[in-house]
Amino acid sequence: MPSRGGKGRKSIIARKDKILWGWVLRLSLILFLISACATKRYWGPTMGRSADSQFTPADALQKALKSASFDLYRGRTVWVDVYSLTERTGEESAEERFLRSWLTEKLLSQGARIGPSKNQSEVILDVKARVFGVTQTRRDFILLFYMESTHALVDLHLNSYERESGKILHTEDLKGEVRYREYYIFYMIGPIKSIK
Amino acid sequence: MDYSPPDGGTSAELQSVLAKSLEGNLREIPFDPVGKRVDLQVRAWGSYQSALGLEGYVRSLFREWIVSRGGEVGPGQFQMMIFLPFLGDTAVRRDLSYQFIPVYYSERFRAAARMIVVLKDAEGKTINVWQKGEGADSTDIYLMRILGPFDVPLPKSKN
Repeated sequence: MPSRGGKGRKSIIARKDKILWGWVLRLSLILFLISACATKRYWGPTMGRSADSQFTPADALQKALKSASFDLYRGRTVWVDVYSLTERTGEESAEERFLRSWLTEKLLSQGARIGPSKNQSEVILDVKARVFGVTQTRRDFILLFYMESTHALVDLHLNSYERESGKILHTEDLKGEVRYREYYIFYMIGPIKSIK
Repeated sequence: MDYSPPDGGTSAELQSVLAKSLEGNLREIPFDPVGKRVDLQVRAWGSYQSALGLEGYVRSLFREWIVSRGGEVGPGQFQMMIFLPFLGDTAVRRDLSYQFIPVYYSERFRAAARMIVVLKDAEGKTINVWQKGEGADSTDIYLMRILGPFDVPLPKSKN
């Protein structure tokens, strides 16, 4: 009898263990599943080129062209070619397009004519933009002071060629820079702006 | 809405080191273009989504170099093939902080370039092959993330 009772107790314990393990497994499965999550990752909508990065090079370009004189091309038909090391998706970058249009306007305002094509022009104005862009620097002095500086630099190398002979008529280097700063105090007060 | 911050376009520092590197490579070409007519062909790979800009820039650079030395550009006596297997940069940032206080911070831009110039005669026979890999450097150093940038002379990079 005692041996039979012992066997019965053992089988009850074994059944209880089985139930317990069953629950442990179910609970583990639930915990495993609730810890998982489906995530869809994407970059947020883009805000494009920052305003600071647009107006500072435009101002620097104005400074660079302040000393430039295009009197040499008065009454002549000119074709403008612009080359730069800026990023692009097509043939011409946004910077090159902007520079070409700006220089075209400058030439027209000083009495030059813009040729309908390269082959129908007397002079080819070849512009290499060594630099047309910005460098941004952040200065941080823990909690007390924070500053963001946008330094725009325009460094142009101009060459004009006589289309027929291919000879160089004129060579000129033009440089302009603008520094735009925004200061914040205690990360709260500001921006205090400065432009040079 | 989680907007990505606005971008600043191609960095001015990067453009400057790349332009310096290209001009440095051009300076040492062992070819005298006086009185010669050279047909220019440029082939670049990689670089800013499209290589067309870089090819145009290098063609313009060579054109000026040939014409200013008394040569001419166009089909004729010589053909100059310029290959740019790579032109890019690496940016290294060094940051030394002690107990959350930034002590030293520096950023170094290094342009790496390789230019291969193949010179052929009118019949397409190779006369000379010249290879150069002149890099350029630009480093900004800041102390306490507030003082600077300081210009530090660096050894010339070799590629």
